[in-house]
Amino acid sequence: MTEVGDVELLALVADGDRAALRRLYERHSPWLVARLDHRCSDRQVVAEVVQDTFVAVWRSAKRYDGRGEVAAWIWGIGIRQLIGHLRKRHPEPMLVVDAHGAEVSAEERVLAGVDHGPLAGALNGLSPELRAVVQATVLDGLTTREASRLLGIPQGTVKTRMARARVELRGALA
Amino acid sequence: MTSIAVSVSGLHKRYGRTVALDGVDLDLGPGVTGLLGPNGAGKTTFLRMVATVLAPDAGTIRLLGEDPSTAAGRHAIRTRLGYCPQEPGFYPGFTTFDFVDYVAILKEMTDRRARHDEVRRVLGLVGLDEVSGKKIRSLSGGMRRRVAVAQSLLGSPDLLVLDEPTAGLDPEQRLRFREILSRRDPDQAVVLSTHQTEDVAALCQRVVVLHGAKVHFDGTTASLAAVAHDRVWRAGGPDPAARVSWIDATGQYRHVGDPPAGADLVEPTIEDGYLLLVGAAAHASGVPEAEVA
Amino acid sequence: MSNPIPPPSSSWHAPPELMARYLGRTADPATIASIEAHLFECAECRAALAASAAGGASETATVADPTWAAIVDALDQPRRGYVERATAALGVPAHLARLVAATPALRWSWLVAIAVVSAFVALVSETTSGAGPEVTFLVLAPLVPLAGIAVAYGPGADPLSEIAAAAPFPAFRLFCLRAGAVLVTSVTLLALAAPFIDSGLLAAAWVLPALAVVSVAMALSTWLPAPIAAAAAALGWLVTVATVTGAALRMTSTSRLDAVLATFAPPGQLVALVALLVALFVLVRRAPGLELAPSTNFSEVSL
Repeated sequence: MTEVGDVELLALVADGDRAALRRLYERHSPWLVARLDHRCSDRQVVAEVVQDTFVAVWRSAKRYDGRGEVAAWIWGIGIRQLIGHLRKRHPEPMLVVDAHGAEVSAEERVLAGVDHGPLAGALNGLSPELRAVVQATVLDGLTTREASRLLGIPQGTVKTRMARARVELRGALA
Repeated sequence: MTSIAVSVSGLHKRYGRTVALDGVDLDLGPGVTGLLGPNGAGKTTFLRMVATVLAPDAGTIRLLGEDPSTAAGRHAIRTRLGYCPQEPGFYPGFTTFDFVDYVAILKEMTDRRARHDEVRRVLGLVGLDEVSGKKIRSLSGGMRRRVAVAQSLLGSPDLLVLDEPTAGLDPEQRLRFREILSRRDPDQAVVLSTHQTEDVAALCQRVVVLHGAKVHFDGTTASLAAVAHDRVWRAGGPDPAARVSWIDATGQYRHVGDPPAGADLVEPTIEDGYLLLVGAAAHASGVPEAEVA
Repeated sequence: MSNPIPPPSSSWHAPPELMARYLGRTADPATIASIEAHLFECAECRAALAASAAGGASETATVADPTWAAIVDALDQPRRGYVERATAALGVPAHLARLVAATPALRWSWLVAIAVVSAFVALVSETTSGAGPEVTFLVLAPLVPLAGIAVAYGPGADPLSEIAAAAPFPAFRLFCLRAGAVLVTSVTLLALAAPFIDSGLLAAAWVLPALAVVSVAMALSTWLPAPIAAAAAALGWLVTVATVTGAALRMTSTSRLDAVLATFAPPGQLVALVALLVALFVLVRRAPGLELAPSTNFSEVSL
């Protein structure tokens, strides 16, 4: 994996090297698909978004400023492509409100190293709507406006739900 | 369905005072035919006629069984024809893909998806698929020539006309061109012009020697070499009996002509045969019988 | 009570079971969040995800991957300039729009048309009242598309003419397409500029003459090289205007400018219409068999 780094590949892509784009595609499209899958249940839309994302990567490779991980930069493009798609195609969002199967025990979480104490439980304890807002704004780095487009709710609602989520998380952590 | 792809007889063409073709008769079929001759011999004029770009002053042509003197005939021929001119021009700002796609539209490939697949196919054939997004003006001369060859391969034409396709190419690029040509369909008729005998030796099954607006030879490459059988010898110094002489790589003289008794005869090459014919023609006397194989 | 939050560790990697749950969309939100945040930083886990998602398939899978094929196709799409998009928007089939838009010479001819039209509008707004600008406009408007065609087909011929000559697409049809494009743009520009110059019916009086002049030029180009045909048509037009003006001056005693307007009176419009129809007839009759030689000379190829 350290043969050629992502940053070098992106520089090659900016130069018009299609083989470099293919390498980036091989490395990044799998997790991109998975991550988009968790936000949109329509496989067709996900495939189109991935396609448009890498075409956008090709066209805007020069604009990567070297700050932050290439993966994060690609995600920024991808999530915004998804928002654009959802706005065009569906009035209501095709959002996956995750239904998790088996509850993962606290012990398993600790062993996996995923457990950050009560934070995990607090996060899991949020209602789906609040969790979606937290995911969109905190984890995906969207602005309030983008989050409202992605989730199909007014911006005001995004803000109130964020506030409520904060209250609940703080309460759970206290 | 005749297998003769190109059939011409009595072809004449003159530009002002210059006679470019003076009564050319030829029949060409599948396989690669090389048109060998010095610059100004009429090769380009002939190829342009085969490519339906130019009409002769006199004579008849039949291409792929059709008559190019009618519009319908020309159209029928052109749908099965590929042509790479000596000086292919490009629009500035076009990428490799743009250019080949544009020619594909001129070849009446109207379905976009199928056309793009075909463009990718021919670019792959010449090994340029990785640079399809690059502007042509940023490519080297050798790559540009490959782009020009690529467009001539669109639609897998039954008749491929290439005018000096190896001009300006270095040996490595020449080799690559030979590889491209070797991947062709065996039923295809290819006519290419060159003034390099090595190209003929490497690429062609048949060769036509065109010199001074006339055909001096029409046969296999082996029989062109055979024209100089027993007429090539080596010596340490010049020899007046030779029609053409030069110093070869070993520093010895190589003579082509009528060898004196006891001369050190050597195996003739295509070049020897060619020089014998062309050199003789230039003397306009004692022209050896051209052997038609 | 609370486990201390472990510091970010570069040696932590997502365990395969969690990864599998993530991929299977059965992980809980905290796990999802953790894995997703981690994937931004860890190339190894990205590779692991890729491997398990593909079921261990090799790199060559990308070649057959339909999404990648679609990406390549999108990248290969020739970039459509605004000219091409506008042409396609008018209902011209995509491949023809490409042919029309591709020649650089056309861009110059459009610039010429725009320049001339802008000069006109500027001229009108500069000068004071008087019929001068309107009449000048009427007389010169038909020449603008001609200038465009002459520039598009002037010296410095199409670098692709040799290859195009050997291609099945009918040469004259290509010429008509491109001349048509020049015509449509210049006429549109002129039509937009005309109301600024004269707000009456006169603003449209140049249209038929312009169409007639251009079609005569194109009909002539079936015998002569295009630039010469355009020049001949231009000359013919100016001579016509001069002749009609002279006759009007002799017959009536109007001012010089009003005499020029006689050319655009209804009889003149009728003549223009007839000329247009005749020229179109000639074009349709002669066009199919024509070739475009590199010197932009159309000639019947005969053996």
